Amino acid sequence: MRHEAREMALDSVPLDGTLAADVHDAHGALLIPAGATLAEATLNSLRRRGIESVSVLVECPEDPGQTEARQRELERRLRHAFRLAGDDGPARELRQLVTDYRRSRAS
Amino acid sequence: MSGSTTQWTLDPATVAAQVDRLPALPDVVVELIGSIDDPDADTDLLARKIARDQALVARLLRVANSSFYGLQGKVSSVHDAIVVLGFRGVRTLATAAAVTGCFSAQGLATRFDFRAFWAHSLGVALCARGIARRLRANEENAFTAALLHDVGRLVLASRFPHHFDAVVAYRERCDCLWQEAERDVLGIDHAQIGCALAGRWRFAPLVGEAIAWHHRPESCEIQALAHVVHVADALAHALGLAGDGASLVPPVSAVSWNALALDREDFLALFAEVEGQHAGICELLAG
Repeated sequence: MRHEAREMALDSVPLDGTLAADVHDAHGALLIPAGATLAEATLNSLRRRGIESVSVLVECPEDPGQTEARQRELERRLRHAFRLAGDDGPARELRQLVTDYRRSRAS
Repeated sequence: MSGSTTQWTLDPATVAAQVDRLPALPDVVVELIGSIDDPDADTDLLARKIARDQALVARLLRVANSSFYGLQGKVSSVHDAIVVLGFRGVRTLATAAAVTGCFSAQGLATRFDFRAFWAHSLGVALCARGIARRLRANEENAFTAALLHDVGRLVLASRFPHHFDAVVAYRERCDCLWQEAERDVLGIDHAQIGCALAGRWRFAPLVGEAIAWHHRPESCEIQALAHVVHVADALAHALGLAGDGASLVPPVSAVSWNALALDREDFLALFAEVEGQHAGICELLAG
């Protein structure tokens, strides 16, 4: 699944959403870094500091054609990287593990 | 392999002479590495020696206080670092900070990618530490040996830059593994050169053996650590941690793979853990 940053009012932020950009106070001091999880307590803390909206990562459904192209590219890259590793035993197992890992990270 | 040439052949004596000209590691780091498998090492004395090397302390504290260890601002002295990270953790950090700072990016072979080299080495070190943790083996030894596993390539690139470039050209022409290209062109490979450097820098035998045999771990006398480094090397290549788009996974020894006996969930968790830490540690130690 692809993600993109979207500016949202605090009341619309999904609980435990992921912050897409650093949040600073009016003086430029860092309040919360990008990547932080937005728990209820964090959102309340931001409200108390007068923050009205934040940038949040949201999932964007990928079109099936893009998914297929991405998987083909992954397979091409791994085939190239493993070309001298042999095609049986541990090398095959490792290649499958990395393929599964990359697919799980993309979904 | 066809196309071999005697023009670039290196004999062990020539390599040894150049290895002797490499900058020495700080004495305290040599002692730290040498103490890895010495249970009687005087840790208080070593800690006092670390504290006297200001450049090393500065690098050590920068890493210890980074988000990588989650200790921002809590570590202000070598003593603090030992309290928080333990002596073994400090030894690993001090070694990594000294070794990565020992080689300059200047004057290397034109085809050598300094940044990719350390990105891969640090990736292997993280993989090895993660494997060791899952095996309940010594994580610090695994990290240090893995960090240094390819140091022979760095020796080639810094002391024999034209030889190194000749190996790159040969490898591109023949599409073979690095160690095969080195043996065909130079008559010696980076594992052997790394082993020579391990002797020069007085690494513990455990570390020297793992460097020497990381491509043939089943031939190593002290196999456990060599298995860990061998598999960690393959994982780092498979994950493309060098970041140069030129990853080439070497053959993986079934003996090593089976010796680790990790399951699918172990590997998937390890991949995520390593990728989560890799950019941060590269910025700190190889930035």
